[in-house]
Amino acid sequence: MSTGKTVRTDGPGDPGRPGGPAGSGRSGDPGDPGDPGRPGDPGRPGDPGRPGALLRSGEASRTARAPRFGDVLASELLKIRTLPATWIALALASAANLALAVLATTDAVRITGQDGPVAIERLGTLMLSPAYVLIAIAVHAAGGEYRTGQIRVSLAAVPGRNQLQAARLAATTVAVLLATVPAILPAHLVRYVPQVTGGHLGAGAAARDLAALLGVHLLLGLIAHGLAVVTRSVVIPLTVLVVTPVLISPLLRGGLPELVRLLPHEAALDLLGTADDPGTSLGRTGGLLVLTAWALLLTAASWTAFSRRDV
Amino acid sequence: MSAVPRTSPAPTGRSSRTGTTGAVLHATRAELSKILTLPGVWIVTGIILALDVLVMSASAGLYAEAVANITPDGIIEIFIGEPQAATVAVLDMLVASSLQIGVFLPIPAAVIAGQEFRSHQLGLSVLAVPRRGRLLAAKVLATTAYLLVVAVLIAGISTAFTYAAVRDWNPGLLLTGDAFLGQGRFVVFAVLFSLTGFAITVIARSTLIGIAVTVVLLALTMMRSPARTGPGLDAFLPAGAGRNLLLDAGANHLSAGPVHGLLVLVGWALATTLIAGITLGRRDAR
Repeated sequence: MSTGKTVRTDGPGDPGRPGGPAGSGRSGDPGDPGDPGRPGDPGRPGDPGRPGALLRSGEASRTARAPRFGDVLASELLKIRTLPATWIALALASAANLALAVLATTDAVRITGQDGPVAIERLGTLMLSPAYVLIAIAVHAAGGEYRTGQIRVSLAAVPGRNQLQAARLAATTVAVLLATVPAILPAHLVRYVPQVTGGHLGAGAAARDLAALLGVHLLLGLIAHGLAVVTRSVVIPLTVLVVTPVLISPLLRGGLPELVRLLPHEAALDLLGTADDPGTSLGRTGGLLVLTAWALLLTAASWTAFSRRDV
Repeated sequence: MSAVPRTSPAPTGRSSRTGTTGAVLHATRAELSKILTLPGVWIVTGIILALDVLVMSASAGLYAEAVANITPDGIIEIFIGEPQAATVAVLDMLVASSLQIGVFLPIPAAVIAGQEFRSHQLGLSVLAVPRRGRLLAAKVLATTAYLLVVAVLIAGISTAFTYAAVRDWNPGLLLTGDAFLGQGRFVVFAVLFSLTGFAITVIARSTLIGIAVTVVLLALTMMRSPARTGPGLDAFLPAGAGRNLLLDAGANHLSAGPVHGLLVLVGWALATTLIAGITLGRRDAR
């Protein structure tokens, strides 16, 4: 978070603000002899009218006042918007979603499974894989600040940790939601419009699937955000979230199926109705509950860590 | 890096060769110290070994039950409906259980390679060992030594769990030449595949990208390659080559033979390391 964007030392009508009613100078400017007078100028003996001298007590109180939540939220959103990783992740996820949707709709490529070629549409993990690219937005927003000590600057600007964490969380939520819509909507239309217009699927079912996909992205994003804050890293959360479904779950599925179905990726597939193993599926409601529980757990853990840990 | 910057003129002739070898060995020792003092490497290695124990424990009961039900004519049914000769199947399971954890080793390799690009550490390393070829050679040697130890530990864990399952049936099976050969091939696979991940990380200068590319390579093999576009692709992917090198063709659907698998693995490790050397030598040391 940028210091200058969050610490408000001036308010509406502040005399120290350019274009403000009392002039254009900086507060605290020592001034030169014969200076016609700048706002906040401490003044010198014999110096004629200094409008700033009359404003010093009120200005000090404004400077000491804690930044407003809306300002902190705005600066966090600005930070996420200006991160190159945000736009790269959005572009990659959108392209991957669209490519998979086209392949699924046209059935141009099939994957060889144990029981012969399988349509891409039936491979839930593959169809969900762009989500793990998109949640890099949340990871970079939360974990990127720890790489170069930027978090110290953020805390210098907003010393209230609860306020800063609330703003970070809210900003991540908004950013993930805003990014998810363009990332999934074109692909969703490519896949579902032919089915709805062809009468194979109702509009309600298509809308339900879209909402489920939006929910999965949001909840996975919150899980990723929480992991990034807890581990203070960008690499660890993405590695854990990607490696677990691809490499770890298949290993444990044979011996510990009850454990595997409670992992975030498997719960996400349940929520989307594309579980790898329908026999151990929790169903859409169960998937939603498990995924929400993971998101709440990681959010609570990250909040606790952020509030109490040294930076 | 503990290696000292050179302040004396470069030696010539035989002493030059000795000096080069000595410098690489010193740099290797320094790189090994760096690896062993990285908390991230220890944490990742610990997680992988713990996961190995967890996975082996979870399947130990089923495996022991299958061994207990081996028929008098030596047939075992590890997977329902797939009877196999017990000796071959047990040795295949021994190597497969090492392989399933060995695919995680590129992750510590990527962590080892990626730490160099954090906080401008590479600049300090180049200051200590100005010849980047030597620096890369030292890094590769140190990483190989570390991964060799971890791969042997993984092979040891799978041997211990397999022994617990077969000790009442054929306790000497795991001491045969075939068992050692299988585990030896696993160690070769683990080191070569991990070095590929290491080199990709050096090329990309990012731990995250190194891990992501490795996971994609693994996922391509796990999905058995696109059936319509390239059924032979699997044989040229590192994880597919690992399966071809390690597993029994009679019990598994393999895409090529073991020699082909070995050549592909060596090719990946050599090609990526060569590119890593070129990029390390030509790009700014930041």
